[in-house]
Amino acid sequence: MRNWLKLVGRRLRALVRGERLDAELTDEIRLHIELETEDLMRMHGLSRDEARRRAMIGFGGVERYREAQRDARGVRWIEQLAQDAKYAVRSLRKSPGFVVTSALTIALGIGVTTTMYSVVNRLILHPLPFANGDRWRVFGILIPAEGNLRASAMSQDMVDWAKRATTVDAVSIVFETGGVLSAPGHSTVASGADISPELLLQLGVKPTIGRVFGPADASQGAERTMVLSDHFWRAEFGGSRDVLGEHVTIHDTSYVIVGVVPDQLDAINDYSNTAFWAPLTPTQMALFTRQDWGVRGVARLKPKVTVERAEQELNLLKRQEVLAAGGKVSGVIPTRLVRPGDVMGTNLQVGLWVLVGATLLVLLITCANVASLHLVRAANRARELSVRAALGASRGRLVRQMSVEGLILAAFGGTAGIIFGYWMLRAVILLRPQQLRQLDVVQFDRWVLLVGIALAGLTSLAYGVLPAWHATSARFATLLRSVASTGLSRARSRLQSAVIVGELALSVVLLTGAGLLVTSFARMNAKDPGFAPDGLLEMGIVLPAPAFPDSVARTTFWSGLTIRADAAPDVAAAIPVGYSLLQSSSGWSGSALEIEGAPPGPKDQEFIYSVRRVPAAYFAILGIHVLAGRTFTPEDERGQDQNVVIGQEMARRFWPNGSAVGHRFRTYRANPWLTVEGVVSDVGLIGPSPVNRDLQFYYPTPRAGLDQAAGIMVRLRPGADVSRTLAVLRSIVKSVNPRAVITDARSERSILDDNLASPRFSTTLMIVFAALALVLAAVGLYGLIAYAVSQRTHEIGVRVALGAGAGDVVRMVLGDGVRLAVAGLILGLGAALAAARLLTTLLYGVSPTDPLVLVTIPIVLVATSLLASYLAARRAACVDPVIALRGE
Amino acid sequence: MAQRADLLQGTLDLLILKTLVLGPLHGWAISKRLRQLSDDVLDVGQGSLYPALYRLEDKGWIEAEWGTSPEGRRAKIYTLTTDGRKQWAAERSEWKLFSAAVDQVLKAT
Repeated sequence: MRNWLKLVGRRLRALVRGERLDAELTDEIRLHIELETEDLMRMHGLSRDEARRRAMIGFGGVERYREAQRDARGVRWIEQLAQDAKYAVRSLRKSPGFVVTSALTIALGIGVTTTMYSVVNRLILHPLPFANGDRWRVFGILIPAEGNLRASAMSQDMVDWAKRATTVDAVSIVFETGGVLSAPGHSTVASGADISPELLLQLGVKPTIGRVFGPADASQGAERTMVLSDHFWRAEFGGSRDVLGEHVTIHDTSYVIVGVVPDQLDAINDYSNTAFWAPLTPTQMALFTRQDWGVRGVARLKPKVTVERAEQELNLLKRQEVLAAGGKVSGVIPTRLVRPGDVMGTNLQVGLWVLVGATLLVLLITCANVASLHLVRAANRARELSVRAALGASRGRLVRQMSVEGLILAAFGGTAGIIFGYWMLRAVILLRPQQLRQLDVVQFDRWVLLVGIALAGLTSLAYGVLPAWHATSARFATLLRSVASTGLSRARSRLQSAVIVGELALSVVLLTGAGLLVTSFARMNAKDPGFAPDGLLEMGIVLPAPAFPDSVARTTFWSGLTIRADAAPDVAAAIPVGYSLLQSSSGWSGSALEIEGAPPGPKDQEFIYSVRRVPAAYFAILGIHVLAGRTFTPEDERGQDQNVVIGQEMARRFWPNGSAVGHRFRTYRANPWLTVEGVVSDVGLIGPSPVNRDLQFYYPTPRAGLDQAAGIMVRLRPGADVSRTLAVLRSIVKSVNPRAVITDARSERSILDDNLASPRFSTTLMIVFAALALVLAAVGLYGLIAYAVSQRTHEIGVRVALGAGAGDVVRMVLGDGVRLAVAGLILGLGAALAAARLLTTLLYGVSPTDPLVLVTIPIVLVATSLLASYLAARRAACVDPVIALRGE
Repeated sequence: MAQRADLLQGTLDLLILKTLVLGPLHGWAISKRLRQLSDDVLDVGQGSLYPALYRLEDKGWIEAEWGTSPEGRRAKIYTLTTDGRKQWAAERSEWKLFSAAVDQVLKAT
């Protein structure tokens, strides 16, 4: 080791002080010759001049030994490398077009791949960026009716697993809470979660400020503590450190804030935008043990335990418990252990993976393009390389020089790629759909970046070195001769054509994907939501129990608010409602529906349907289309829930022949028959959702139900300003009762837009990637054709000399381009049809083999190819036969 | 060609180490000593001497220091290091083995 250090020290000295060492060497040689001269004079009695001459002869060529001497210093290669770099830069500067194109190409590939991988890595692969984050799993169940994984578990199972499971430890309940959080000075509605007191320590969560809570905070008699999530802390407390030690109340319980934790923790609570975290108390745990509550939970896989083994054990324990309690095992839905990212929603996840796939294709195209560019350049330099090899440059030296060029290019490209990727990540975060709040904390992934740069470097290296190798191969003399002739390396141009066809095929795959997503998005956007969303606002309001203790207080508030809102300027009508029109999932329930006069369906068939209680004015104010019969009248509001209005899909499902109006159905055998009074359009969010939520019906609201309201809906007059009216409504709420808390206030249009945010996100990115792919492929094609033209200058010259017109030449060159484009197209469409199936879950109203898309893509591709080929062909048409022939 | 160079190089290294075992010397003195010790049979190609010296220095077997030569000139004086001494011993026994073997082959009838 010591010797090695010494060696490095010597090498460094040799590198840094090369000139000084050269001087020392000169001194040493001079001394040698002087001493030898004196020796010769003394021993042989020669004259000084003669002695000196003999000494010099004895020594040999001084310069040669200086060189040998430098080699012995062992830094020779570094000096040569510096020389190579100088040479490479000079030679690259001579072809700026090539440099810019390949550097940009590399940059695009690296930037795009790094960005998307960073996103997926953070969201899906490693959602918990804490010290011990990777072995944690969320308890999930697969909801059969939806096909979606939900983060969900039963509390008694969890208590049992915590005691008995051997494959997992740190089993912790995550219990969703929330409500009006009152801090000195203001109140706000916040969602939170109670978790095992040890969990934050076990996860290795590092607080942003303050501390995390631990077991001591949950002991009997301890003051109740909580930590805030970073985003909530910044939004509600201005990111101030003074928050530590502050007291807040939720549901009359007082908590002291002890710390702030990173937002990523939200992954264990199903991405519910959790604002605060508190330790579960022994009282709560006792309750969860005594009664079976639906909760969420996390656990840590023990080292070397596979997910499958752990799932097996947990489900076995679960079945044993069910059997012990005398239940039936058949109805038990198996518990799954999933990464937190897996419960984000299938569509989102599929969308992200599709995008990653797309970036990989872009990266492939990038590599192919760099390869192609290098091949073209190499062909142009074959003569130069051969000459240099003939003049005595060793193969090693030439290869090294070419590699240095490749590496310099990769370095340029890599640097540009980092900058590009950085901005692209910013852009992706700006574009993010609301559900992907986690994106905000995504950072550039260093490892992917390194892999990308290494890949670009290798590509450049490989294609830089290859031609140098060729040039110095035994056949270099032949090459030297053949370079001058037109028939140069058919194999090389075949290879290049294959590369370009591959590029074109890959871009067809991406274009098809983008085309399908765009079509799907357009159909979603154009779909009638079933009501008139423009100029419709909704406002969610929570009435905290201390201020609104009873039904009377609440009813007074809602009727007061409705009257005041109704009278506000720009407001056409306002009604209290019990739920959000589009956002909330409450109001949905499932049971077997019994249709009068129809044979009973399969015994266990359950329908998920939405049922809402609405005032008579609801349909008119929301602009819901009435398709048959009538909607409610004020008389219905006084009735006994026997008249209902149903949605279009429900009518179609149960009364496919003829009108549904006048028919009857009931929800349970014990319930009264309900008479269909009218059929209206289905209202809801549009999206490629597997959820069967399309059966809808409405009860008229009994007057007594007003105290159950949770907000108001407001229809604006035409031309009214949405944000100004929202501000007016907020002040009205405060003036009716300052203790009411507004949870949410927005227009239905913005909710619809948000709903489309996720498809818009993936569609936009897909378009960007496909466009990149197309441009790259076109650049590659242009390069290839331009190269072919340059190789055929002689032939073209002959043709022109023999009377071929410019048009003939262009046509001839175009033909080459079109042949390649068609080959790429055929290959690409085949691959695209296979790949499109992966998109199925993301598509709405479009089949993966949509004819419109399958016709448009070839047109786009061929048109682009024609353009690229034409630009290259134009150069060919300008060939002057005299110059072309003399060039020989 | 390369093999012959290797052989010579190895031999030269051994010879240089040998001269230095007897005490620190500067470049010219080393070549002079070699000539003396071999009765002028081995005249080290003067130019190969210095690269060899630098190579040995690079390997850490000898150390060089600027000092004053016995002739009273400023000269770079080479000294054997501990590693060099070990190397010398190793190379000497290797050489003995080698030359004995060659001898034996040549003597065979």
